[in-house]
Amino acid sequence: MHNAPRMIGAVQVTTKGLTKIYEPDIVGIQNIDLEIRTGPFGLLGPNGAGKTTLMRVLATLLAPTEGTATIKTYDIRTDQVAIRRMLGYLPEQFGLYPNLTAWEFLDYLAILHGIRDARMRRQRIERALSLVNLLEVANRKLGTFSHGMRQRVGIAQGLLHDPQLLILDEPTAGLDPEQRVRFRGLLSELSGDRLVILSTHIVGDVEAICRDMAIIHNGQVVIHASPQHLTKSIAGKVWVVTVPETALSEMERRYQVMGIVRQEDGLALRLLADEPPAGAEPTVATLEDAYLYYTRSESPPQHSKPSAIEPMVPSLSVAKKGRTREGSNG
Amino acid sequence: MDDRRRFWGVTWYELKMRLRSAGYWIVVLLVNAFALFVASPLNYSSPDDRWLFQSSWWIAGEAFPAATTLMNGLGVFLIADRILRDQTLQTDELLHAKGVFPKAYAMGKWAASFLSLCLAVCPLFVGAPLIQWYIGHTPIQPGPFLLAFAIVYLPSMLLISTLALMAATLAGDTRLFYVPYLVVWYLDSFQLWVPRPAIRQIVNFSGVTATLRLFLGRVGSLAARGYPIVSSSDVVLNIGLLVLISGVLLYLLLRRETRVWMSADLPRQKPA
Repeated sequence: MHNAPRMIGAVQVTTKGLTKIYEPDIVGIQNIDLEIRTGPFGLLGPNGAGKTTLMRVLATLLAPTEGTATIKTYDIRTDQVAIRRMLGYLPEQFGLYPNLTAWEFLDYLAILHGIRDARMRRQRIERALSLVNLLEVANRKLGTFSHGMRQRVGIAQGLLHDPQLLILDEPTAGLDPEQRVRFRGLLSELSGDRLVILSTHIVGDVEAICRDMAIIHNGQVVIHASPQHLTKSIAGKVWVVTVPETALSEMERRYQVMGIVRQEDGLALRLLADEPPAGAEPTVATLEDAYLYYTRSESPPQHSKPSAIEPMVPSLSVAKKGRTREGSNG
Repeated sequence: MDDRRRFWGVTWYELKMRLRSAGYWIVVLLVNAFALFVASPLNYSSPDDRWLFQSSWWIAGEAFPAATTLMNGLGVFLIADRILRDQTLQTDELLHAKGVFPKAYAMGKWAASFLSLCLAVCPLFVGAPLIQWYIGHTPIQPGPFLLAFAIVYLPSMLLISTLALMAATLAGDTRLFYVPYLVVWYLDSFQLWVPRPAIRQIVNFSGVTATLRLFLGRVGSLAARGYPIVSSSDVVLNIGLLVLISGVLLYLLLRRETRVWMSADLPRQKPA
């Protein structure tokens, strides 16, 4: 797989053949080759795709079985201390101490991170809490927090020490729409001069925040491109057609159906095809269409697969099911 | 320098969490109530024994060993899960992502546990002298109470804090520790029947040797009360063993934590 000229920032993370096999023989990630540059990077994939494993490996919290990865100049196998020093990490699942207040919990983590000066800790905690809109409840015990508030405490602890590298695993899970919008803005602001790796299965988050992304499926990187390139890769192949309910199974058999909306006169199907069915009208391709296309585990029938997927975008790289296919029209 | 600060950070916040839990205060209440009951006239049927309450040595030698014995049984429930809890609560990933500081982490956890056990018997420093003042009508000597705390209570707490933390963490499940431990705790009650003093000191972790030699032996004849005669060397051997075993257990805990933190593969626990 080769990398498209997606970003202008310096390469911050490089992985080569990164593999994690859990005992017994459960593949977490397999042969991940990635180059990630400064800025927001999105890792998109369905549940169980290997996103969390990759995040934990990059955060040096999980040892890879094979392969190498470097963050800046540091090796994840040997330079744990240096990497964790510049790391802000939010795990997918984490707990908080119910008997501590939000302020105390952040103070505890700030001390553990090595922020010695009490005044500086106070300033950092205040800033982190105000960024996630929790300053008013700073002295409330964490045991009384809702899921969304806990998630925001998790985000705040990741920002405490102004890290150069932010790894956020499903950061918007559990946030209400208002907080999600706020968080997207915050991440866009933060990612100016640092690397932010964000994993999610919420396409909208990546679309709103990231300039570069990869789709991971069954432990492998299926495609690595910018969201725009990804959307372009299926442009002109997304159609909307209204069919009677009885025709649904036939349509699903013949085409890659991306969405179904029930209407008065039947079912409006959103589908991906080179040659559309009769009566279909073209529609604008979205990142979600592209995501669904690349993560469908079963390959759609040959005629409906966008045969021009590789030549669509210059230097778009596609690696699916262990094979690597490179764009070649440019 | 950073590690020293981290150690104090872990100790301070762990202790804070401990002191804020209801379970801790229930144990504090039980232990102190039991110790004061043992050291009070309620525990003596004969009026002839009332003269004993004139001695601070006697009251300290009753209250603190009683507190030690009960705390040996209940205290482990407060301590054993301190490291495993971070796995079940899933705070461990957050902590590990902050750096690599296994020694500060493990020592902080242990220090907070030990301190919480030490603080638990503070009410005895008021309650036990009050009994002497009220029943014995004699001047209170602070020395015996402090000595009982230092010689009888502390070595035992040193042992059970390290034992509970290390064994439960290593077992990976607190229940695997509690059951065998409670058997050992119960067997400790029979240590006075062990004939050889040297062997007796190995199975004795409730401070009985020091109590007999330094406290109860000062007030009347031990032999007349059916207690074995103990020597000063028995006391030294007993306390030395408790400190030595605690040191070994703490060393094993530090090694285990260092291995876990350096291996970059956190042990996973089922979320609570």
